Amino acid sequence: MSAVLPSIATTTDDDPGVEARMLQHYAGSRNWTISLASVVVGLCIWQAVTAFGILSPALLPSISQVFHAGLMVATEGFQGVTLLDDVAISLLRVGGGFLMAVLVGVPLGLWIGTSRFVESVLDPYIQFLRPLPPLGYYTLLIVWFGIGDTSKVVLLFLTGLPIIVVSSAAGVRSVDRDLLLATSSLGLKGFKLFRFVVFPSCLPAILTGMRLALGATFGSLVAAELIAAESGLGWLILTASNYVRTSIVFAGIIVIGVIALVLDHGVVLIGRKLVPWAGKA
Amino acid sequence: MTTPFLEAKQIGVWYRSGSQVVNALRSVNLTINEGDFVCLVGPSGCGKTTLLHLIAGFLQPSKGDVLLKGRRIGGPGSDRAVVMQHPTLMPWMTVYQNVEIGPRTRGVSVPERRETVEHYLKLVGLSEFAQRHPYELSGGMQQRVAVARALANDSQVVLMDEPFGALDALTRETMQLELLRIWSLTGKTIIFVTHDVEEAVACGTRVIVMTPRPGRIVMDRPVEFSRSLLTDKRSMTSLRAVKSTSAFVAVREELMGSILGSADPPSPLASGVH
Ligand SMILES: Nc1ncnc2c1ncn2[C@@H]1O[C@H](COP(=O)(O)OP(=O)(O)OP(=O)(O)O)[C@@H](O)[C@H]1O
Ligand SMILES: [Mg+2]
Repeated sequence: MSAVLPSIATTTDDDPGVEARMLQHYAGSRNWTISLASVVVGLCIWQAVTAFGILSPALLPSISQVFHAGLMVATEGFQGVTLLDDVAISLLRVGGGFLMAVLVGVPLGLWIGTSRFVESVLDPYIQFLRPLPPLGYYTLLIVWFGIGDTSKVVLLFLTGLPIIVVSSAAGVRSVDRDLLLATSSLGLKGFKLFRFVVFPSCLPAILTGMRLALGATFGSLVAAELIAAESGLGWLILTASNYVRTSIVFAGIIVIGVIALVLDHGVVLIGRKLVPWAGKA
Repeated sequence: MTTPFLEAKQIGVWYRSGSQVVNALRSVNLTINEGDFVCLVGPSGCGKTTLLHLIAGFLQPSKGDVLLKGRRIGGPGSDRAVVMQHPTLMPWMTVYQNVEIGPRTRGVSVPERRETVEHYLKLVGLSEFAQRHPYELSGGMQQRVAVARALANDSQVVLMDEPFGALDALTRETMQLELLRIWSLTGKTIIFVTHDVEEAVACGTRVIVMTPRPGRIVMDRPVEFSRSLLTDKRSMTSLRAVKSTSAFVAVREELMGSILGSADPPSPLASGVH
């Protein structure tokens, strides 16, 4: 969550006081130079371990092996499927499931947050679904929807839904009561009160929910593809490891990691665009 | 007999906090005429905000009735704009949009509401900040936006909870005069909570003194300095001048006396002499 924290301590003093430095520690952004150096050191250690043959390439391939494996899968493909196809199919599944979860989850969460009755009716189901590991019911979804894309999209939908519902509902409940009262004394009520006050108040919570849900759905997807699929990044890793092509497994994992990072960062950027006031009001 | 404009009859308010019950108001009776500028003063916790919220319709009395033109107040309404004790602006809107929200909700045309918004922003001295967001403003500036927002709403009644509490002396006096001017031009009924007795005496047509535990009204006194302030052209200097006249000081001291006298019950040492 560090990315959405405001940078409070942007003092330009030559020597910020001890307190200012402490603030910077909590609210300032991390030092990118150090982070970059840390990554370089990590890569050097990896290179050293493989160069001296401490571990066999089947356990830990070298950086260049992984790079070439990735390049090979990207250009020629593996088992007739190229890396781009795998990425595209995985992203489509995530996109479909996640989008459905947002489209259904946000209105549902807002409704639950507004009405005690609706909350009482739906809460048991949401509370049951939320801690349930998605892979626990994935086999059931395969039985119902087949092994193709439908069961996966439904799985991702069910993974993301409770997360988005819960955070949207929490957003409604945390709307500043005094702001509601003050604006209702200006004549805002019903839909206008919702549109101008309640919904914008909930946006930060909704975006936090979306960020968590996107991470969770992507995780579920890769796991589901590891269990049952004919394509996708999870399938790529599983198949490659069956053939002991460890360098392809590594390349696949790195691609998954990078995609997860990009998706997460995308939501954070959208959040900054949509709720520039977050944490400042 | 005509029905009074605003009337509170035998009001009692009890708050339940956990297992405790707090009696915030007891047997409060109050009649306010249209066009009054009523100032509520009293020590912290005496129920000023509670009384204001009753009139706003944010709260229902545990006992008694609050009537506006003879009808029970059932909830908040655009005829009673409120400035809360803390600035409650919409952080996702600019200062301009915040002030605009009342007229916009009522469906006032764009050019007309621009005129209104610009007028009130100028009055509170924040024209240059129209396109800023509330978090870019100081607390006192935010409160002034809230004041402009309430005044721009064309409500008959304006309820203000310590609106100028966070302002420096100079800005505060400017705001007092602007508020008086708006009040006299529009004929709004203003109910104004303040800690500052001097402010109450200078602005009000009536000052109501409340005391805590349980909150009740101990004094309701007409004052007449606001009218004379308005007739004077050099208002800023006259405000200072009026505040130092012996008549003003006498009223102020009388009210101070009633606040202090009711807040400190006579100690056993002083009263048990014989
Ligand atoms: N929501 C609440 N729950 C419980 N008790 C409350 C609540 N609101 C107010 N009270 C109590 O009611 C009494 C009156 O409160 P109120 O806020 O009306 O005082 P006030 O005169 O506005 O004080 P201040 O000048 O400090 O703003 C206080 O004793 C307070 O503790
Ligand atoms: Mg108060």
